[in-house]
Amino acid sequence: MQSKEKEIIDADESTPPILGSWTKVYALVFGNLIFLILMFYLFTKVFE
Amino acid sequence: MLGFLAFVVIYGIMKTRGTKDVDSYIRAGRKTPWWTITLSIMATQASAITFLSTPGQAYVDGMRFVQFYLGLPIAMIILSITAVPLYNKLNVYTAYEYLETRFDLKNRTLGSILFLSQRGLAAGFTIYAPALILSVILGWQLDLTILIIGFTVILYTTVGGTVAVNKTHILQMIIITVGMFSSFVIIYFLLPDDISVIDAAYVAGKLGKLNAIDFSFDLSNRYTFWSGIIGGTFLMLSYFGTDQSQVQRYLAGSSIKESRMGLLVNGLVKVPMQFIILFIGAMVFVLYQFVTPPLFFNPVEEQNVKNSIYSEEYIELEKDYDRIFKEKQVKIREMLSAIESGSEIEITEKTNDVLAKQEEATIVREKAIDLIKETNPDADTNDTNFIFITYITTFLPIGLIGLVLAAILSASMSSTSAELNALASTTVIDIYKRMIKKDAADSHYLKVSKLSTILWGIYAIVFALFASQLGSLVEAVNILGSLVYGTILGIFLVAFYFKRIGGNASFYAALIAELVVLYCYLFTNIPFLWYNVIGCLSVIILAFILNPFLPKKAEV
Repeated sequence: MQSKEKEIIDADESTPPILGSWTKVYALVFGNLIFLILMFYLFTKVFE
Repeated sequence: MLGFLAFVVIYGIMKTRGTKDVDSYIRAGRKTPWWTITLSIMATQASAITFLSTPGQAYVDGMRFVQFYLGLPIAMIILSITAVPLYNKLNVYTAYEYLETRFDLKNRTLGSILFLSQRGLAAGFTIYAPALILSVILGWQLDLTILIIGFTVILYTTVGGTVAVNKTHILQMIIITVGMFSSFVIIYFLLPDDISVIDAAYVAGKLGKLNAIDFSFDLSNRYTFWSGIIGGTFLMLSYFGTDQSQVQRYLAGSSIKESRMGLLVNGLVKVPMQFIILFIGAMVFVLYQFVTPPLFFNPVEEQNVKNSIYSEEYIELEKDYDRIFKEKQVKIREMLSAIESGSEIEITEKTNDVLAKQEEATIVREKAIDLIKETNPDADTNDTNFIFITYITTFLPIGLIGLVLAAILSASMSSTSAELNALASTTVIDIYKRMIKKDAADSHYLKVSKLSTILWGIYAIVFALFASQLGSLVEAVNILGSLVYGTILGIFLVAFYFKRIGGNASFYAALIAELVVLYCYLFTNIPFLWYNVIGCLSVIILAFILNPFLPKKAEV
């Protein structure tokens, strides 16, 4: 079962439509989250 | 609005005339592009009650609710790496099918029964809650509203299955976006001429409504950065990774790439979208600083008091409330002048004046709520859900009211259709085909799927029709998701990541974990978001403890 599932994951070699690799797309989503948290924090502090 | 409803049904049916087998019906033939998946995922999650409640929540409690969604992008990344490739390559129709591949039949059955039990009741609530609010505000008959929403959804979901759900989700998301955008633009024009958007933001901020991020670690505080990022990640992992109403959306993807992009784009846009909806609520709050709001936003309860012996007392409170708001408006303008001058001492002094007026208004409102309770001890004293719809019906022009009501009905139908679609799929694939009739023709399963959609639809409508008489059960449905999501997620995480754990250990660990979560709900004050963490970690830890003592292969 373990090797079968690993094969399944490894077999996914399709590239994303943007940025060239999935790692970069994941980094974009995570980076966007960090950016939003910082913006929300600034937003909270500026207007409080 | 009625034209829009009719258009959705005809569009859903017209676009799905090719649905002739189970694969087309449940997974849309696996031909769905990523952008349709994104819209469908968002439309499934955005129920009408979310759409009605979220701005009201910002009005009452500020924007801190946005932290509830902070775990969502992280969950999207984890699911894109793990669940999407596995589900896709194992060619499953439901998430629970995977549990039998990995463990055994009893784990699959437990997962599907936990899903069916909570989602079946939730589908009824998804119809009932907005129907109740619309009937109270617009004077529509509640039962008729429930029947119209329910049977409209049953019609196109039964005929077209997942393709119809996905296609109508696109239309529904467009109308929801246009509706919300219009509501926001109108607030801008309704604010007094001397109050800019920045001034409005300062008013909201100084009165505690722009509290988007709170880094304090406080277990008794429901929405903080930590509960959102930790509890929210577990909840979203469970919701998007194991709840068939969401899993079915990306199982319809034409490839791993399309399913992943569908989830990841949702991870990019969902948090800002919720922020905007909450900001609209904060701006409605500011608008109501310059126009005295109703003392209580639920017009039925308010009318009940005015028809009772407390009428005069209530009208006096209304006058007091109006006077306090007029005085408060003067103080707010003084505060804005102080902010413009930049003098910190003056800003603090004037802000305290405004807060004092706010406190006075709160005391008057509490007295009004006491009168409502005196009039009717069973009255619902929480009017948060009525705030946004009151703003819509009071301030928007007739055409736009129709547009926003269409958006609210869209949100109700989009969530309900995805729920019925998923309930039918799980019933047919995990219960009927697996345990009752294994080797029938594809056309037979297609008929059973359609029949199952109708039956779950009727079940949801019946629940919605009787919901008002069930009282506490309705409240229970609201938190039922968090009572079972952690356990389901635990089973899936053990399946994904802990290969040494067998089916028996996973199954019994899940049963005990569910008891632990129920104990927390019944006997502690832990906020519900943490149930997801507790349930999930309990399954994992107990599975490790039980695994050496139990045979790995199930004897089923």
